Amino acid sequence: MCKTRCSLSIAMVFMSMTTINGWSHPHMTFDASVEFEMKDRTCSALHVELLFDPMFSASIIMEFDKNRDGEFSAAEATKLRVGAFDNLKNYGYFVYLRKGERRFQPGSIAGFSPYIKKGLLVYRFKISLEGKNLSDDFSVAIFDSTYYCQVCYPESPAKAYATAGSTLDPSFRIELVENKKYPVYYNPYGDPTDHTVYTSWASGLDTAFPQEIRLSYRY
Amino acid sequence: MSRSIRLFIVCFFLLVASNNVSLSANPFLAGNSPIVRQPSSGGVLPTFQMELRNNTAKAIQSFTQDPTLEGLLLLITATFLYGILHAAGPGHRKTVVFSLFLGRKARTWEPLLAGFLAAGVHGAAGLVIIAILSILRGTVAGLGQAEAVGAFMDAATFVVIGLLAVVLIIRKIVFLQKYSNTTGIPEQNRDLYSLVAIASIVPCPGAIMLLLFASYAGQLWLGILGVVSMSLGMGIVISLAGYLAFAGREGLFHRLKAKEQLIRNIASGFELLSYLLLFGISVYALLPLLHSLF
Repeated sequence: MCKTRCSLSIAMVFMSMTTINGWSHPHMTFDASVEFEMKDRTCSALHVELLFDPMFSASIIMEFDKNRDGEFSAAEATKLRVGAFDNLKNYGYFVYLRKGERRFQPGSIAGFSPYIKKGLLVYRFKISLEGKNLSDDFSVAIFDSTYYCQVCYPESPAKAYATAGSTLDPSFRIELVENKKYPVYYNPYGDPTDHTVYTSWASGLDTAFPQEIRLSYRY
Repeated sequence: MSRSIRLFIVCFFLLVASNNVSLSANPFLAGNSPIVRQPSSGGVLPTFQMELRNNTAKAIQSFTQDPTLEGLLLLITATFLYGILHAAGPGHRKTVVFSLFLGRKARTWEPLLAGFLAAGVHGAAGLVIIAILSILRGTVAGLGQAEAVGAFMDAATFVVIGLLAVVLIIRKIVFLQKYSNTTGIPEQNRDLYSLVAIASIVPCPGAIMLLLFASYAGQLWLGILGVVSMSLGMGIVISLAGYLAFAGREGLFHRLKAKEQLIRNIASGFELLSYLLLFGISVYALLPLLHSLF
């Protein structure tokens, strides 16, 4: 009886281990960092940078930097955007914003500028947050629900700066925090064209708790 | 509960739990939506996997500038370990191999052969795709094209496996009706390796990126060496899936060795179950594609 319980326990432990989010199945990795563009204490835009691993970098650079000058010209950048970036819209650009319990993803971006840094590919894109009322205390998570990419954060994953004509309240604090309270929902079983962004749980959805970059004020 | 039955239950749960029926489509690339079911999680030590992958890239870069035995050994070690960890995650046809050995009487070495056959075909598929695309383009293939072909092949192999499973189910039922009153039912093992090979004609995106990276560095042979080493690592894990089914089946039948008729009935039941499992896996994996078609 004891052996039976032991065997079944091993199986159950294995089952539960395969469903936790730490057990992803990545094929590539990138370092994600963000810049908060602040109008006083309200975030008006978010700049996201993804620094890719050497293999994915090489694949994209060789495909799109046609003249091999180590830079993307305007024409090359446009082709790159169409061929290896725009599809990310279907995944909300991997960006999950949260203010209190309200979580949302951007539907579009305001600018995209790829570049090459020491042989590695970097995607930099801007998300306009005008009218989103992201002030005082809010968070952003970079998360790939397909688990194709391993998302990492550098030691200093975020910074903030003031837009022209406004001042940055110096009491702000930025920190990378573990998130155990605010889930991200996603559907691993949808058809290929189903890229719905879920704001609440429904049957069949999976749940993840990605790390968040939180901007808050000390008073 | 006997030891063999306990072992079988554990084996079955291990495979079901591993949820391993699909590969991914790169979310960055245009027109590269997944057409088979994607892993919702799953995988082993993802950060370490990515470190190994980055070490592989460094080994190729450093070998290109300064060829040393140490660099070569680093490449082989990193890709071998990556293969083990990567295959332990979702995909790579472990469920197919498990299902086949659940339903067949096999010799001790056969799961090993099937595992390495699956891994070898899996690795070679990436090389063949890149070779064909490169010949067609007149230059080294692009990642987007290679992954799009890979995603299509992923779906196509599940279609073939599903259809073969239906044929095998019908054949087994007819076979059982024909031999129901005889004492000896011959084993039919010849399809096993064909099925494993067909199921594995799917390139691993990890292998594709490694081959492209080595090609761009002008060291394709290093990429091939890396894929061979990676496949050896994957072969170990895929073989283990086969051995789980093999051990469960053999253990159960050993306990029942005095009851020949019961063994025959159970063996036939397992064989049918394995085909049904194959069919179920195929339909499950193809549901996203079926949803988009109907």
